[in-house]
Amino acid sequence: MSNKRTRKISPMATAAVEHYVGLSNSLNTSEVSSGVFAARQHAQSLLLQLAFPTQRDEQWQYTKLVQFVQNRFELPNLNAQKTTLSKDELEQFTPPYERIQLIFVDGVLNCDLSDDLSSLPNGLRIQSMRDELQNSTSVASWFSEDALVFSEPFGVLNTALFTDGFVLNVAENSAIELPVWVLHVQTQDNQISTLTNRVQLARNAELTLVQQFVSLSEVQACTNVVTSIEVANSARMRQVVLQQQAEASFYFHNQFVSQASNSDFNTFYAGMGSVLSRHQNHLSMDGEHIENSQNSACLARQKQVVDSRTHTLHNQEWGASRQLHKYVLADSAVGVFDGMIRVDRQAQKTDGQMDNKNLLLSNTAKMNSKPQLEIYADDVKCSHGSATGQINPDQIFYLQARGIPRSQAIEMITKAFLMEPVETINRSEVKNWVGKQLSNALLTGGYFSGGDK
Amino acid sequence: MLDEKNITSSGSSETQYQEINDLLDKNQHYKEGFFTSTHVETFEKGLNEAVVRAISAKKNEPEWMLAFRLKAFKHWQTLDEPHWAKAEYTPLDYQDYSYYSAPTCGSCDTEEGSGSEQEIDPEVAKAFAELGVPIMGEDANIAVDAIFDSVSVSTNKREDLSKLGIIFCSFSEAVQDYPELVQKYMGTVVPYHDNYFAALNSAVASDGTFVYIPENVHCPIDLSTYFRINEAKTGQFERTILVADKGSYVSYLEGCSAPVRDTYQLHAAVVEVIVMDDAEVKYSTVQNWYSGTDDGEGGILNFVTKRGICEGKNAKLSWTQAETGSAITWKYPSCILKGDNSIGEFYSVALTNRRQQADTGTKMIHIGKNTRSTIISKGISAGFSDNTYRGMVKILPSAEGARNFTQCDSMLIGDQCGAHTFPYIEVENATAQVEHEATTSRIGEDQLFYCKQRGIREEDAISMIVNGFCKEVFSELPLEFAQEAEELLAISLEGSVG
Repeated sequence: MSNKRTRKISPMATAAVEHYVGLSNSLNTSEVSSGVFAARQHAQSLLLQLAFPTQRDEQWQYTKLVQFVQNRFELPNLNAQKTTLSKDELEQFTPPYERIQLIFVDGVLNCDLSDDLSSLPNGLRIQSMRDELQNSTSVASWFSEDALVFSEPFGVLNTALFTDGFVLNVAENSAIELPVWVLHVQTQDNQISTLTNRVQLARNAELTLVQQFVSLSEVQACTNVVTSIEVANSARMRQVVLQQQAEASFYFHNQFVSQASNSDFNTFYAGMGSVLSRHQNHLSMDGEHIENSQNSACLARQKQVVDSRTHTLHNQEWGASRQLHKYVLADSAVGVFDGMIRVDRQAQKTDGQMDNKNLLLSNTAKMNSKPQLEIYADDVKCSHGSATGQINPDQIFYLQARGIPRSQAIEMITKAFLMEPVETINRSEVKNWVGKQLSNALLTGGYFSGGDK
Repeated sequence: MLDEKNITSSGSSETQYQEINDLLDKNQHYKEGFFTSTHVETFEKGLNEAVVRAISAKKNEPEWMLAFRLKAFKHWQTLDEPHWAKAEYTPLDYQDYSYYSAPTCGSCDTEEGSGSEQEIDPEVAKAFAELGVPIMGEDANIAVDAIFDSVSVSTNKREDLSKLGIIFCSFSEAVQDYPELVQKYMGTVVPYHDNYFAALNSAVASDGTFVYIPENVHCPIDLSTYFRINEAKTGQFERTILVADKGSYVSYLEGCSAPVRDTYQLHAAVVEVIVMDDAEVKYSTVQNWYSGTDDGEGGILNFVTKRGICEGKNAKLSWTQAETGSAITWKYPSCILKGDNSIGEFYSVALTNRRQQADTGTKMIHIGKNTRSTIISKGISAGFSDNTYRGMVKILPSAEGARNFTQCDSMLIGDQCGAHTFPYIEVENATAQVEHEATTSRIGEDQLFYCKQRGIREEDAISMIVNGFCKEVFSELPLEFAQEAEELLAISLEGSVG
């Protein structure tokens, strides 16, 4: 986005920007790392210059930030950080499979609830971002001024309010048996958790990462995440992101993924909570014979806005990318899908496919879909498809003819529709668990109560 | 034109010839690239309120038309040139164009717009004859409005048509003769503030065609307009209004060409189509503006706003276009489907070669119940060109049971070109069904091998395959046009395979 002309910024947005720049300054007063200090400063100047995007920005025309801008989220109180989450409270979120667990409470790693980071399996190293900052000097180089993170408005905000997150490394040729489960819990009203994560898989490494975002009660808070993922030659990464925050919350997640030759990256996003959520994958395929698959299942009702987007760059030959994105929208929910497959001139033999299917359960729900292709190489196979509609009455009739009540038939068909992308998760215990979460949200979330005609 | 040449080439006459020969070599295929020299009246370059007033005065326009122009001009001055399309061009200098140019004929009567078939400058007539445009009414199946730079020079078969109550005349004449109709419809589909180029057009509109088909009349012949830009550094700003009243039918064709010039020329048209209850309009375009040299020098900038509204029930509007020319195309013929059960269609073949850039597509706005739309777009890119489909399908909450089917196929010939698809799909009604499909591929090696094996030359084989690829769209074009489009395609593809 090149915006050379000075933007008109509304008084409301100016006030919000000043508020967040103020928070960023207060963080900088106690900052020890000069790299982070400089990065925050750079982010502040960008914030002041560009503020928050409005509907006039092409990338934000369907995702309105009005409500976000009206809020003045505060930083979590880092010093009062104790066990604000009891073991019992944690219990409700815990998955039923063996795992390595990391628990973040209001944006800060909680060591008491997390696994002991000094006794992790061989080849796996996890640090909290705060600890990493104190020990490593290379951190500063992550925030060079031309870093990709600054191309996104919420990437800029993330850097300005940089607080914690995790750094995860998998050593060469190590396959980590257990999935790493990272839970983020919001417990306090009106605060913004800023998480900056880095995941690096060395050559031929393998990892399954599950990131879950939840709220303890009906809090109105904001989570702004940036996750950078590097997948080296022949490495294999599987990722699942579950977003189940309280209905008044905000969620922004920018993922910057780069893949090297022969690597495989598989990510699945399930969006269920938050009044406004936006999950973005920026995926760069920087080698030959790369495979990846990006999928999502999104559910929204009432006044929720659920936005999921992908930006896939095929930069080298023989890349294969697959995408399936499904939305179920009820009440006055708004769904946004924006996908771009860009095939560079060098990326011959590319095979790219992107599908977006949407089911509208109500006449006031809206779906905005923008599946895009930008292709500069001739010997490629690329396609995209998008379909939006309601349940085929024939399908309902078919089930009714077999003695299944109408309401149950609608539930069955909707559930089957939503579950298709879940099939791409290749660890069965994770797949079953995610499937359960999604079907619970669908069947108990009030999607069918009034919708029976 | 010659003046410019003299200024730019200060070398010997030999090198000058060399240059011309090179230029000709490059543009051999563009047989419409000749230049007609005749007496012309051309306004000084530049654009300001006085120019707008002068255009209006030249055309002897009523007060309301001048007011419309001035309002649009004021608004245009507040706007910025749009650059969001996937086409790169340096911002245009609007002061470097002339906004009015018309052939004047010493021997002819200077009184224009007298209604009858006026006499035509013989040079201009020759030009149209060379282009194969039957302006003298020699073809029984078609009525032609021929537009040369800023004015309509001839409109034939008007009497025959008027017996049926059909109005077919140039836009300038319509302003004089049918002011109430023009006032009723102008700006209703494309308001003057719609976009930058529509505002510019509204301010300096040159000429165009006005068509009115009365109730329950099935227009027996095809109506057509041929646009010719002749003068260098002139902009053409045609304004066309087509109204099909209840239960009527018309097929309208549009063609265009321009001489080879080494600078960009601007063509910013506005076309408004109004379709009433049960009426049907078929609007076909074969666009063959000069596309510039191999190095991307010169060519027409085709920045067009075309939009139609299906005002009444069961109305049908169908856009068919074959786009092969222009340096840059920026064109989105759209349908507003307001009447219940109305139908919108868009069939397009866009071919880009050399350094051409095309950003074209459609908008289908569904408002009425059970409205249906079909979009078939075929993009072919060769050489160093970029070909973009940009389209919007919007289903408003009121459009119960709306249906849309979109198919965009792109084909790449060569590895230096680009093919892009940017669809916008906005659905606000659950009973609507919207489908979109897009594919990108190239001509299969086995397909080529298969043809060559049967003794077909590679170039012919490619032409055959491409024609097959476009068949769905060409079959929608009127017969002569379909043939012309196929030939154009073959010519435009020349040299793209090596």
